[in-house]
Formats: sequence, C-alpha cells, structure tokens
Amino acid sequence: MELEIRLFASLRERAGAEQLRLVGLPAECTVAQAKGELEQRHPELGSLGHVRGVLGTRYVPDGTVLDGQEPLHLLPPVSGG
Amino acid sequence: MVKGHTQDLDGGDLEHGVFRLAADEIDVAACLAQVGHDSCGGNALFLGTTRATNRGEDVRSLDYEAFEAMAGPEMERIFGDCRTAFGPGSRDWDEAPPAGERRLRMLVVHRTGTVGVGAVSVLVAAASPHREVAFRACRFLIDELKARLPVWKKEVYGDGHHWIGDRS
Repeated sequence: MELEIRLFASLRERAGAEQLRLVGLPAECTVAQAKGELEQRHPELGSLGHVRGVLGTRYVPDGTVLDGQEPLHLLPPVSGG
Repeated sequence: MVKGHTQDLDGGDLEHGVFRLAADEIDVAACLAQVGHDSCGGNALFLGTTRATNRGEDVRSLDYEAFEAMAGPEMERIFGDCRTAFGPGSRDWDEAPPAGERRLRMLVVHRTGTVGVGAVSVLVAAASPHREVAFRACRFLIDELKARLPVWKKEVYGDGHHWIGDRS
C-alpha cells in the first residue's frame, strides 16, 4: 500500500517538505504503524509518539486502519492561543 | 435600533458559534459589538496576547500557522460541545440559570501569520442573558481551543526560532 503523508509546523520544517509518500506499507496498516515506518525511514522527524493523525478534518486514534485512499495528516502538538 | 439579528456580518449564526482565522489585526471592539445582543446582559471576553519573553528568551514576534481546512470543522465541534455543556439544551449544573435563560452567543477569532509582541493573537467572546453561562462558555472555548484547534505558534528570537509544544 502507498500512503501520502502531510506534515505541519515543526514536522514540515524537519522534513523540508509538506508531504511525503510511504510505499510498500502492509495492507490494513494502522496510523501507529505508519508513524513507526515514518520514524524509521525519516529519522530526521524524531519521535512521532506525541503526533496525532487526522483523516479529512477529524482526529483519528492511532489504531485506525488506513486504506491509502486519502492522505494521513500528521499534527504535532497544537499550540494556538 | 434594537439588535435582534442572529446572523453576523459573515453570514454566520452566533448562537451556533462563529469562527474566523484572521490574517490581520483583530478589532476587539467590533468583535464585542458583534457578539452582543439586547437579550444578553453578560458578555465575557478572553484575549490572548503575545508575551515579550518566554523560556528566558526575548521574543521578537510570533508566527501562527493553521491547518485551515480542519480549523473550521474542529472549532464547529468545540462550539457544539460548548452548547451541549452550557447552552439552552444543556443539563443543569449547580446554580445554573433556568434553561430558557441559557441563550448563548459565541465568537472566536484566531490570528495567522506574524503577530507582534503585545498584540492580540486570539479572541474568545461569549454572551448570554446572565454572567454565569458567559463566563463558563468563554473558559470552555479557550481551554478546548488550546487543546484541539490545529494551530501552531512559532516564537521568533534574534538568533532563531522555536515551535511551542514541540517535543521531538
């Protein structure tokens, strides 16, 4: 499975890109698994344990199964206000 | 003229909750006038302003970045949670006014881009017939916004910058 990853704020800066593409992911990959793969393939991102996944415009739990049909947005801890 | 309209200038419904991302300075007086209503005697306002120092560093400015496609929908959900907690249909809490007097009008404006030291970065305003609902709603909205709204703050110093909340 292929998965498009979209990054924000500090993650985007570390990656030097707004989006990344993960290829060769197992079918029925979860958000947590995608984050783990991303940590291994892009160590410049650092730990993603505190990063929240979003599909569309909603936060999703780390156990959510991905189908690769829509991008996974990865949000570092928010700090508005 | 009696202020009886519930539609704001952007066409939003203040009793549902109105949210804006603003690239320019927030007009506080205009926002207060917008959220106010002749039926509301309690108007609560929270302003977040940028500090000159943080973590021992002199801050030159702050840059705010939003995930714009998500910010509106997430704020809609926060407004919904606030209505459920404190609005006309909410469950009673200690010293709650009667349900008929829990009318609630909400306005939130958050800056994007560069915000100078001392300037307003976020405005939360709530209006209700009585102060209790207005105070509670205002506090709820800013607390939930800070925990959930997809906005990030970058402090810019003379010799670099730091994303607030970054733990990596």
